[in-house]
Amino acid sequence: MHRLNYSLTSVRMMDVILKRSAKTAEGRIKYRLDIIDSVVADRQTAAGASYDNPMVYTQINNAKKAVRCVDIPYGGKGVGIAFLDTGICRIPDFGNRIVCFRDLLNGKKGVYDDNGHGTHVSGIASGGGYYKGMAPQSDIIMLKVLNSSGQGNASDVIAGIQWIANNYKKYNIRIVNMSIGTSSPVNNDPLVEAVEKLWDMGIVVVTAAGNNGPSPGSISSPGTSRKVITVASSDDEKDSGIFSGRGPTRECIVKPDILAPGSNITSCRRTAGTYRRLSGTSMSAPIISGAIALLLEKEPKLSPDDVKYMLKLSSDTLNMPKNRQGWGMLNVEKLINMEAVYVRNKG
Amino acid sequence: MSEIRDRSIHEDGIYDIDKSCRMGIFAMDAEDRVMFALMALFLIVK
Repeated sequence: MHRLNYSLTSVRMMDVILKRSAKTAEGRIKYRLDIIDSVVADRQTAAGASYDNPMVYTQINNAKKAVRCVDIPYGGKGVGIAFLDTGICRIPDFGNRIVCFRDLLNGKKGVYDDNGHGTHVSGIASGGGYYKGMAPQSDIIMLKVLNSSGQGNASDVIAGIQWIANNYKKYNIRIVNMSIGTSSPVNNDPLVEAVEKLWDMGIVVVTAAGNNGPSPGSISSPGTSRKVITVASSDDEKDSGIFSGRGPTRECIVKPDILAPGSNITSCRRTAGTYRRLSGTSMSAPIISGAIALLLEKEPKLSPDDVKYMLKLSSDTLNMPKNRQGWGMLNVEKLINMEAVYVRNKG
Repeated sequence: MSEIRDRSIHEDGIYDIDKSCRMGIFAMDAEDRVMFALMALFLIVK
């Protein structure tokens, strides 16, 4: 077994994904997947590392102020956000908006989260309790692809992506949040291939940049994809002592694309009525996903490229290097108030 | 509808290219080898 470094997580070469199928280490075919064409090695993936730091107390409400998400007349109503994560707990903060739960690891029917990462991430994007998330009226579709330790295999993540590709119309999934990833770059990365297929189907994919910075080229996969929206933390260096992944990618693409707060973000625990603070780019990504849900409620016809371009136009520079900040800090007020832009891609 | 002109807009997506990031190859052809040898000879003679 070959061990590789991990960015958001620790990664191991586990088994092999053959063309359009995923085999276990024993050679058993686990999935038949149309979403990928490549022949690549599978890797173990995990939820983004999260660090608790009592020095700074940044509530989700404060994070919303930082990205100018105050008094926005939208809540993401009717917009489905799919999360590939550790699961979710059915707590009052989510009301009846958990419209679908699929456990790709254990096949359990009931809604659960045996780690807590997925519940926290979902709360930042879609929570509607004491701490309101970015889009407190959005619908939640949770694909459990990581185990109780916050780890899993890339093949399970890709199987989750395949499920989204098969079911996105049924649940109006417009956004996929991936606060997960792996630091080991491989050629013909199947994670990148899979998320780009979703993007081309009209689904906005938001990924964490990973916490493996500050070295150049430390963006996690699938955030290395040129198509998807890769999110880094705006306040990691001074507040939590962790570092967002930085670009460029191996193809010389500037990454991350955008920043959002990621230090000591308060969101849901697994127990109703309790909250906790976590830090990392895992927390930054759902801030962007929630903001996009607000935009798509207002302008449902926007394509993923339109959304990404509008994020570019509305972001505020923090005067950091391009491969640290991308286009800069999310500004929801500007994003929501700007006229819709429909991009015609050109070569 | 007015046409948008922006270097971030590519056929395959919206992204910026890092122009300071240069890709290189680690190979030389026969001509390169002759030039390299001549340069080395020149430096030795000098």
